[in-house]
Amino acid sequence: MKNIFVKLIVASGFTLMLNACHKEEVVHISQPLVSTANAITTDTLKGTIKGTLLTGKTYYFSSDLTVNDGDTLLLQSGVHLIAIGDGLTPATSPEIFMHGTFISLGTKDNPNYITVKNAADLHTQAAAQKYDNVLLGWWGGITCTPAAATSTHPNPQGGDAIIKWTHIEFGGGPAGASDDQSFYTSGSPRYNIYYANITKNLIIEDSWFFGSKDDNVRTAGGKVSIMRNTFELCGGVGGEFFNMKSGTVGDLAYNMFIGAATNSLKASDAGTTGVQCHVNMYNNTMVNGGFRQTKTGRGGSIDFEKSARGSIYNNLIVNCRFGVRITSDADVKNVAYNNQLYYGYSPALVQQFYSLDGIGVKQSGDILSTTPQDNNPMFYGYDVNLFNFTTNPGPVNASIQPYNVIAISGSNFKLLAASPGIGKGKTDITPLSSVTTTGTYGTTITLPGKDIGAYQNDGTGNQH
Amino acid sequence: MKKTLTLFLLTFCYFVSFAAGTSSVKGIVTDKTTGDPMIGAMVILKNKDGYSRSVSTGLDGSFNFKNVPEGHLEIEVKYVSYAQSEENFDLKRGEERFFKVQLESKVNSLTDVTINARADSGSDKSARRLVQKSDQVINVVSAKTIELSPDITVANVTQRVSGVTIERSNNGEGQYAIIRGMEKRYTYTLIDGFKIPSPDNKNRYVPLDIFPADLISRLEVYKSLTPAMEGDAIAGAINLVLKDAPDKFTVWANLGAGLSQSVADRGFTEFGNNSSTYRSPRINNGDNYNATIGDFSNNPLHFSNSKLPIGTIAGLSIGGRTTNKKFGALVSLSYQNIYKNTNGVFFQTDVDPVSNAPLVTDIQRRVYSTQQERTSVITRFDYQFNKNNKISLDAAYIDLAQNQYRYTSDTSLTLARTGMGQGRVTESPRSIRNVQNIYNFNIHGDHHITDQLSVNWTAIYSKATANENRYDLSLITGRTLQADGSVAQQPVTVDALKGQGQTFAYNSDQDKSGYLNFVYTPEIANTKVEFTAGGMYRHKTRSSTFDDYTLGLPLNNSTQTFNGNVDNNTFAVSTLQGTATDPLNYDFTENIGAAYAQFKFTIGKLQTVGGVRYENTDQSWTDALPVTQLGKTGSIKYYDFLPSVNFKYMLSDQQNLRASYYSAISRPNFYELIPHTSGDPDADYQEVGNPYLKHATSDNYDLRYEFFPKALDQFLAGVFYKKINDPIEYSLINNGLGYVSEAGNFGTAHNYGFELDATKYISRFGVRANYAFTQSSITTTKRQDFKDANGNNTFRTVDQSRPLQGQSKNTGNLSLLYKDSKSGFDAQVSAVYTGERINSVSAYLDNDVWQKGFVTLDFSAEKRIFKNFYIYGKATNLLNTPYQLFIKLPYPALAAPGASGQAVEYQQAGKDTFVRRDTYQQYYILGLHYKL
Repeated sequence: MKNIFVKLIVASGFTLMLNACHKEEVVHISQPLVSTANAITTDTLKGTIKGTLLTGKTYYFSSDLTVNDGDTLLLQSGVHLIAIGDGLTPATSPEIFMHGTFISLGTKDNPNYITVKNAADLHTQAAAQKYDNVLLGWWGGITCTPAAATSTHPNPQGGDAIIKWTHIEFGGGPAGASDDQSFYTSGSPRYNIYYANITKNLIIEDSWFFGSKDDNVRTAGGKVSIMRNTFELCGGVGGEFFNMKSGTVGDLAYNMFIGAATNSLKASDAGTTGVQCHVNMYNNTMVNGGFRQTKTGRGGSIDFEKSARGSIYNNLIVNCRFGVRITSDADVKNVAYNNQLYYGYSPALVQQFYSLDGIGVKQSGDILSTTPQDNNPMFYGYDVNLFNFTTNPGPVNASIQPYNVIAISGSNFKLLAASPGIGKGKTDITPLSSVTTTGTYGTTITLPGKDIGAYQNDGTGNQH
Repeated sequence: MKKTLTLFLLTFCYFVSFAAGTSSVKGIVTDKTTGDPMIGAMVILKNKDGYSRSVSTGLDGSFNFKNVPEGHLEIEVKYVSYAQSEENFDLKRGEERFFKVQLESKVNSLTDVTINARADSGSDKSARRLVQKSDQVINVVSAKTIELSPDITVANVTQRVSGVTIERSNNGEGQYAIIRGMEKRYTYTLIDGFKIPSPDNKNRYVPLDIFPADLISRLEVYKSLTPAMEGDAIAGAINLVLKDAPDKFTVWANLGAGLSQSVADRGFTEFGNNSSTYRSPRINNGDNYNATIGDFSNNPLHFSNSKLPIGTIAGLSIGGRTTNKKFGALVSLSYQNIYKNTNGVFFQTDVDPVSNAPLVTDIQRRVYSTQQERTSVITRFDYQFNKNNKISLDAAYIDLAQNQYRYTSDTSLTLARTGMGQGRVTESPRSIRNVQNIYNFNIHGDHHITDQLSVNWTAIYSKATANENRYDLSLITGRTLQADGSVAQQPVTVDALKGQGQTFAYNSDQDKSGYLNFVYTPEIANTKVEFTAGGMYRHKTRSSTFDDYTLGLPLNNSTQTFNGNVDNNTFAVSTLQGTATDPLNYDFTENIGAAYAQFKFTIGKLQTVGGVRYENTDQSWTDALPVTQLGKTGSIKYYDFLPSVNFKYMLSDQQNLRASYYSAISRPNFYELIPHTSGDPDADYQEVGNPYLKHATSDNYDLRYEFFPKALDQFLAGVFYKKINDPIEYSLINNGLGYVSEAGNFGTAHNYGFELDATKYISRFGVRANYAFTQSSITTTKRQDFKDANGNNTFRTVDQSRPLQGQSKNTGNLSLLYKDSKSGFDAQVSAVYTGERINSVSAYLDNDVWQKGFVTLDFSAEKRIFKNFYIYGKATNLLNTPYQLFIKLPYPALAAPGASGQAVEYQQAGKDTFVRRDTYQQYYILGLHYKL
């Protein structure tokens, strides 16, 4: 009879061991909701849309807009796209979620406007040196990212953004429920444009940016061609005009920057794409940048930081709190730079032509002096000594900065024939030309010019 | 085996003096019923000529009289509530007489209602007996051991068990147990055999520092499972057995004062209470509420120094039983209030994008002042209707309130860094108030229906909550290089964007559970077989909310200096509606249903316990994601059949040989299933949830030899092997757009090792020692940075094998004990060695952060001063053992400031890269016990 137990023991000892059974998980996860896109039939836009905004017309949106993967939103020339919001909460600062292709084809004679309803009033306040409302962040900007993966579209890549002769203004409302927490945490300010389509193209040409709360444009991947644009008054207490992270590859040239909170152009390989941030910056003009950034250890015109590579040539840097700043953790061996023209009003600015905490030093083709107010660039219509940077070395509140220190305000930044920058540019450098398409939906790259800065005496370069 | 033991003891230089020459009387006193040695029994030896000597028995029940006069003698042995024993005998000159005295308990012989042996379950004896009699592989620490140990929380007690190490919180106190080198997710915590929910807003596991040690009757560490136990314990389970109502009226009181050396040296920083609200303005007023500056209090950012706050340790237990013994009650109260400081230095690390070598980006000095206040109330009532029916009702409330001040001064090693002593400095005063509590209500019934059939049931309601309020201030300063080569100290200004942060986090985890078990014990083929079958169902609802408000500087007042008083600064609410979309806002439901069948019988010397358990898991959630993203809602279902068998071969009355197999699972933590994205947007990689994460499963094998030579002595030696399928680890994955850190399942991990555990008492001296060797291996994907052929920085992924996180290859404990029952003096010195182990797993190849091996040394002593009064002292962390982290890669050769290899304090080129060093200093407690 004991046999029974012996058998039972043997059975328990061996068969049970082999019979542990683990059932695979049965998983049901809600799929991303993709709404069918509606054609554009009225001037009030809402929900998911695709199609064309027609020449000369004005369109409004007061809630978030979405363009699906594979769809296109095209603005013909002379279109006004108006965000209606108060910028206080995510729900009242609408955003454009762009998972498809965005095209804004303004023209020199008939530019497009992507702005807010009270834009005119805000410009008036800015001109009166009242910036609290100007830098409030009234809407959520254009966010270009791949759509959420679904079973039918497992690997969406997002689309191109092609922006020509377009004014984009007053973005920066707080992020909220609809935003991807990986780059817009709740409550943080959004940008006029966020672009993170690493295999796609971001083309911004001949356009104008004004009044973002923090960064104006941020890229976290993408092939870029940023040509001949004007950037004014962006960033309340920090933020860059154009902030590039890992995966960004391309050229930025002939841009006019005035009144950045921090840098005009910043390149860093932060983020994890495996594609090194590699950008060439040439023939840009940067004026009065970096004074509203309250933290030490930041830049004021051009920064190459963490592992970024590329080149810096022919830039005109005037009264910026810091000049070219190449930090020692940049891909130092692969950052080429030369032929910059610097002007500094005060001794403090002159000392920082090459930021003291960076590794950059004066190059053979640079025009810089250790004496303040040497090498006046001789702008056609702008007094480089109109603001006393000695008494206001930064950081400063926006409210003490006169309008013409941080915005174009009728000034003319072309160089007079006698300017020290004329003919001192390096022209035998090659743009990266990462965006290869040309034509209406492509880019028009202006090659490096012989005159330092964004405006060439032969009339090429920045056309504004 | 005895030889081994002797050798073992000799290594600890244990000296025993031998008496020689004259006559002597020796012996041992044991309990007649249980055979256990009786410690502290009074032995009196006398003759008619006026010779009278008395001693009390030692830790092994032994006594010894030397230089005894020859002739007629009388020996008397007494012990409270035991019948006295007397014997007359004649002793010759030079004779050495040995007595085996057995005492009989008076209590048992007086009652005719048979009550389950209610021996003092907190004694060392019963702990040892449990280990021997248990059906499974188990280690037990008794209340007596705990009381005499230097430990005041359950977490710290666990480190005295073989194969268990602890993970400490940032005040140096143990917080989690790591059993056999396996991450805390592989262990569960029970109170009296039943699972409790966790106050943690991300995880299942319960922080063990919430439990004061004096509440428990014993601590059990299960290293194998039976079918009757819940199956999600791959590493094992920790069971806190609470004190039972004693047979006679008992009062136990304890009052002590504590002092931290670090607080004595540097004072203690306190902060004010939030005068507005402990819950978020959004939770109080609804999602659409726009917060105003009036919703926030500056008080928690008002800091003051308290010179020398004295800690408090207090406990009171009152219990007893009615004269008919039918109704028993026990109320235990415990209060602890401890102040400690921590001093540390920490490097933030990254890797060099070309060489993949460690790159330090910031050096941070940190000072903490931490106050921990533990308040617990436990009540237990039981009623015995008759010999066949009994019910009990337990209610427990356990609370840990922590106030922590932290000041960090972070010097950037990249920003504005052009040499030693330079760089941007971010100073962050911070205060956190965190209150965690657990309520547990448990009704339990036992019914004998027939001689062969009994049934027991349990209904439990329990809830764990945590509320955390965090307040921080971001200040910027720096030491920057000037054109003339000098270095200028910048003014301290408030970070305009970050300003002041106020965070409100709340979590509740509620369980409603029912258990029903049937026990049927028929006789089959002349062998009594115990069949047990039963089931359980638990409905868990978990809800977490989180809001982070930023109070930045107004645009028109963006440059404000900080003069030490935050009231002098002006803030504006930047995030009006909080952070409703933070992934820590979620609701999770989990229903577990289980059923099992178990048999147990003994043939000859072999006891077999085996059977199978079925567990069904049904989970669902709703999270804060927008509907346009994957996984706003989800559900997961699965089930497992978990067989197990435990053999115990009783070689002799004193020796067991055990072999066991069990199958177990580990369910992923709630938060890691929910498809969230979190982390700093500027960080190199984000942490994301993984709804497709599978539960881990394992096959576990144990073999153990147990020897209980005499008295309290024991020797345990065992080996174990665990094969874990789909272990859960964090690693880097490419989600199509970039790399993110995600919990995943990683093939098969193997974990094996051996454990030795020995306790030996010789008269008044004792030694307890254990040693565990553990080896494990797991392979995960790492990132390796390099420069490609085109000169571009990029990276590849590489598989790398390593030990499990938190697993030390070598761990050991050694305690030397002294006990003199007659004078009522106890003392012990305890040392714990924890070998080096991985502290955190890096996403980068070879860059895992390791904790250095360390030894901690603690001392405790107790002395009876008057009748039932005892004075005691405890001194912990005598060696001021630092907590040290490092990366097993050499710090790079000297390079320019700001670059990889730059000159900086604590780092030496060619030596392991320094990551962190914290010190806590000593803590002393002096107090009084009263026992009636």
